This record gives sequence, C-alpha cells and structure tokens, in this order.
Amino acid sequence: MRKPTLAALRKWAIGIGCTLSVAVLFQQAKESDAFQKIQNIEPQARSGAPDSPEMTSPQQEDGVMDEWQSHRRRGGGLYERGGDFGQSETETPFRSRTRAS
Amino acid sequence: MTRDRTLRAIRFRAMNTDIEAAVWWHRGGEPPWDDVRDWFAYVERKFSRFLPDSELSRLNAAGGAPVPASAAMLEVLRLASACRELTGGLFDPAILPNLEAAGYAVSFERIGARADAAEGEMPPRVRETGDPWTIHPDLRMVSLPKGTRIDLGGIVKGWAVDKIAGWLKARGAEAGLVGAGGDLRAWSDGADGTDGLPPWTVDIADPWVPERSCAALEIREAAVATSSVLGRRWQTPQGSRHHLIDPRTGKPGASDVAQCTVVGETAADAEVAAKTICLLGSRDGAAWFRAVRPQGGAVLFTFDRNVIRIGSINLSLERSIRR
Repeated sequence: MRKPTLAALRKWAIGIGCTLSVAVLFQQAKESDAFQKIQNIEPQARSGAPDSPEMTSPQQEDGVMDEWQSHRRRGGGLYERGGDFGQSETETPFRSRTRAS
Repeated sequence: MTRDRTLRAIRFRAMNTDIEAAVWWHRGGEPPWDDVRDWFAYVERKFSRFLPDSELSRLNAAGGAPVPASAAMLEVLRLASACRELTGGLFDPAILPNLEAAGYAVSFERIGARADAAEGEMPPRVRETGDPWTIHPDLRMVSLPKGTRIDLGGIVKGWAVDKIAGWLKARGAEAGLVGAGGDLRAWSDGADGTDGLPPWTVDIADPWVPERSCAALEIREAAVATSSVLGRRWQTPQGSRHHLIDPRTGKPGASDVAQCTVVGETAADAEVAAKTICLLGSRDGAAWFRAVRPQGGAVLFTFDRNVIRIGSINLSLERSIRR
C-alpha cells in the first residue's frame, strides 16, 4: 500500500477510535447513579409542569433534602456559626401565630 | 395515643425572622432540632439577597452568564414559575430593582438606620411574558438575562416550611407545625381527630396592632400565611412605602386590602395567594382566589376596617374586630 493511503487510513482509524471512546464515556456517564439521580430531580423542569412542595414519605427520594443532608455530612452544617438560636422546650398547649412577614 | 407522645417545641431566629416548630414526639426522645435549625440556616445561605455570597446573589451578579444551580434553587425556580403563571404575573421575582428603588435595598432591620434609604429613581416596569430565568436542566445551570435580578423572598419562607415539615413527618412526627415569620404548615396523621391529638390553634395578628391577635384558626392538616402592606413599611421623602411591589406599575401596591390571611394546602401557595389578594384588592382578589383555589379559605382586612371572609375558613374573630 502507498504511504499517503496508509497515512490516511491511520488518521481515519484514530478518528474512529476517538469517536468510539467518547461514545463509551458518554454512555457510562449516562448510566451512572449520579446522572440517574439528576434525571429524577428534573423531569418537571423539562416539561414545564407546575410544581408544589408536597409532604414527602420516607420512601420518596427528595433531591433537595438529600443535597442538604449530604452538605451537612460533609461538615457544612451552618447553624452552629450563627450564635443564639433559642432553645428546645415543651409547651402544652402550643399556640402558633400568623402575621405579615 | 397521646400517652406515649409528648409535645415538643422550639423557637429561634433565622432568615431574619422568627422560626417555630412543634411536634408530637415519642416520650424520652429528642426531635431533630439541630437539623431544623441547620435547614433554615442552609436556606438562608442559598436564597438571601442580603448575603453577597449566597447562591441567589451569585446568580444576580452573573451578568447573564449561566451559573451552577443547587437542587434547592432549581426547585424554587420551578415553583416560582408555577406561581407566576397562577397569578397571571402578579407574583414576579424580577421586581427586585423596583423594590430596591422603593428603598428596600438592605435588610428590613437596617432600613431605618440608613440615611440613604430614601426612594431612588423608580425603574419602569413592563410586564413580560414567560419566566425571567432560563433553566438548563441537563447542565444543572440557571441564567438570567443581563440586567435582570430576582428576589425569591416572596416564596422561599413558605417553601422552606413545607420542605422541613415533610422531612419531620417522614422521620416520625405524626403531627406537627412549622412556621417561619407567620407562614406555617401543620399536619396530623389523625387528621380526622380520631387519634386524640388536639388541633393546632393559630392566632392571626391584628393588622393595626400586630402584637395583638384579632382572630384564631383551628387547623389539623393545612398551611396558613399572612401578607400585609402595614408590616414592612418605611418612610421616604416621597412618602410611606411598603414591600409588596405591583408588577403592573412597578410601585408598591395600592389596593384597599391592608392584610390577608390564606389557608391552603402548602405554605408557599398560601403565601403567594395572600400577596396576590393584597395586590388585587378585595373585589378582584376574592374573585381570583375563588377561581384558582375553590377549596381554600381567606380572611381580608380592608383599610376601611371591613373583615371579609372568602371560602371555607374556620375562624373565630375577637369581639373588638367584628363588624
């Protein structure tokens, strides 16, 4: 085979190899747990459907609360820095109050 | 059923407001109060427009460039989109420049202490269609058009209350109540009252004497929020101003409603509905509320001292405020 043809074939082979590598990489990323989690968080953002913060059951995953708890576990707990935050107490009966905020 | 449970409560300051939480918890155990405190601190670090390194401040300062968004930011923006649509654009986080121009450029506690709290040049407001932000979900990024800045303060307190209420319920609190600055959410597994747990009593602040209560509600599974044009008010050389900006004019709203309390399913929804009724006024506000939340209830206090009930609301009015 002539040299120019060989060089062209080598270029094509490298190109195909790179393309396949990138495809495999994207496929692996798409199948990863992290990507699946984001997919679960975002379906309504894509559809534009209205959202409402409903009560979550222990079985339901909640990306927001998971992210917050993960932030805490990584040592990002925030309230300790804030100084006086009141105290726990027992009150019976308990009365709440609504006012302009 | 109440014998093996005890009522535990906590009150503290966060997000520039009073936070309270109460849960029926098994005897001998400590409710996860550290988590509750941390949650509100976490939300404040993400959504405060007064903290320069908050996620919201970074988004507002990005000059149109996409910025990475947390799951919390994405969820609040999606909720804000739904509320914007529900209210026909009256709930609009993009009013921030108008709010600042009206004098609310620093946290409310500091307005009175600042010499430059005076009203500035009011930007004209043109109602736009569609959201002011673009979400890039696959990249988990958000962008604002250059020059646009948003304030999510009108929804975040209610949303934060709803989220932590659900979280506490999922961790074993069969009945509880969480409130932030008057936006609250209550729940009870025995919503029909059969488990012996008493309902939650919620006092409504008197619009003209906020330290006093003028009415009381009893709820089991509901959210309550109050909005008023009398609360967050300040003086400018041009006159008195308040924090409820009407996107139709770009200026503080000027309806006949002084205060509105809404009972709904979620605190975020009730918070937005109460603000919308304050902006629309008693007649249009009542019509709007009946159309979008036919099962909901509200009580309005007008400047001419009328008290108007809308829908189903289990309310006891104090004698002094009855008409």
